[in-house]
Amino acid sequence: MKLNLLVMLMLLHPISVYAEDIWLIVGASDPTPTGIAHKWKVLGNDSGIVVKSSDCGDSKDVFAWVPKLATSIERARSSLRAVKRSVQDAYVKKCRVQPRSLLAFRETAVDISIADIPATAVNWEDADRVTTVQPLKNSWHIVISRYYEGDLEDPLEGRRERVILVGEGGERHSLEQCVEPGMFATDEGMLAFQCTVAQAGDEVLHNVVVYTMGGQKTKEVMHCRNPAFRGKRTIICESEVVGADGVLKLQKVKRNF
Amino acid sequence: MVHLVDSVGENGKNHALDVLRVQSLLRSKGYRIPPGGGICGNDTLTAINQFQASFLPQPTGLIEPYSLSLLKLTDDIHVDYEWSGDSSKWSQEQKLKSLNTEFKFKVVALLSKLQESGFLPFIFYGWRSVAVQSILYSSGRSQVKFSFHNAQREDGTPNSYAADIIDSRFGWTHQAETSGFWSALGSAANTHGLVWGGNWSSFRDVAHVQLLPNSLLYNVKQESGL
Repeated sequence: MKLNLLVMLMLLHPISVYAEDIWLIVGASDPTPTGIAHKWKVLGNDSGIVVKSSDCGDSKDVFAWVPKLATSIERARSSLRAVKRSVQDAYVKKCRVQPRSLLAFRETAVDISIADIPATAVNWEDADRVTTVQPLKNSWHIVISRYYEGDLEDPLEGRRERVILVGEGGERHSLEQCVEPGMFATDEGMLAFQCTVAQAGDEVLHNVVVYTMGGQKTKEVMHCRNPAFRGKRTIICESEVVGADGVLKLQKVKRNF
Repeated sequence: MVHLVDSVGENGKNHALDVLRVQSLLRSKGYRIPPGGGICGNDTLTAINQFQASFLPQPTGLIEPYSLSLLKLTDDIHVDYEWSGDSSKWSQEQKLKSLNTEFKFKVVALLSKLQESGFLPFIFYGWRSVAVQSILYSSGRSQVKFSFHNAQREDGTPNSYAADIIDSRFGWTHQAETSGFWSALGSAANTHGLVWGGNWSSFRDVAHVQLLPNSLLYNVKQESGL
């Protein structure tokens, strides 16, 4: 009886929650995001993705550059032969893909542009070099893709983040470039979040943006944080004002969209 | 109390930044220590021992984090350290003094220009310590761990290449924009060859002016011994 109930519950869940077996053709590995980006750049023109070994359930977190992946061992062997023509040390690794991981969405954990960050950059942390994924309600996910947009005159030294909305069926909507995206809120086919946009003394200011789940931007509220939906066409957030004393004052505001 | 990562002095870990901080504190108490790039040499060891002899029967020659010696080096009774306290609350004179000399002349000229235009310019930040920057960064209130505000001389004293300038009536409120203060600041910064943070598109910092381009941040960090 219990088993039947379990099977029924599993059938009711979206397919993406299940582990999936695939075969990775590994071209190189490295414990650091910088290291794997450099190896990828040297070995692999633009092809493939970087996989975090934890996305295959490994306890150690190592990055692997995977020029090809296959859904069967036969295809993996065939791909390996092709890859070995340019990367002699390549090998096949079987992977049980962790549901809701970057690999489950076939998103690279490290962007190849990370290899281009100059050694003289001082404000890059390892966390700034790695793409992450987080769940929303109803099996939707947000991928925050982190990359380098080459310009050391930039106050962020070229640190960039892009918000990608991934739907239940795996469909993707690239939303916008956003510094430190956060405070994601969803309601009835709508998504809101905040981006950090400016410095004001000891505080940072944000903008709140509202999107449809189809990836269409419908509202932007300047200098506001902590968005939440109130009803079908209304959002509330806290407006931000910093006075000459440097003190941040927050006030709840309501905006229609 | 000033934060030390580890011990400084006889058989101490002597991390360069810690040594610079202790040397700076000892100098503020009248001990003469020549600049040494964060090296704990004989002059520093002698000064530590002499200082400890004023309150310890047997000086250890070692200043450790959170120790009595460090407390006595930094508390109000034992030291009048010019560069302590919240640097956003310093007087305008001290904030100007915390700037790099070349930069300071340009900021003084910029402030005069803004005053002539009817504004009430006010330096909100000149220099701020790496420790304060680190707190701002880890609490999500700054996007950078090191900035031109944190630059310091070899002896650990302030040498900021950046300043945040507001109108004392408006701060960062909407009035600063509508009164034309930000555009006047940007224009004055441009006249004096300074970089203005209002021109940055990826992350605006409208009150911020700096002497050097962002690409020289690495050099300034090195020059600061950090």
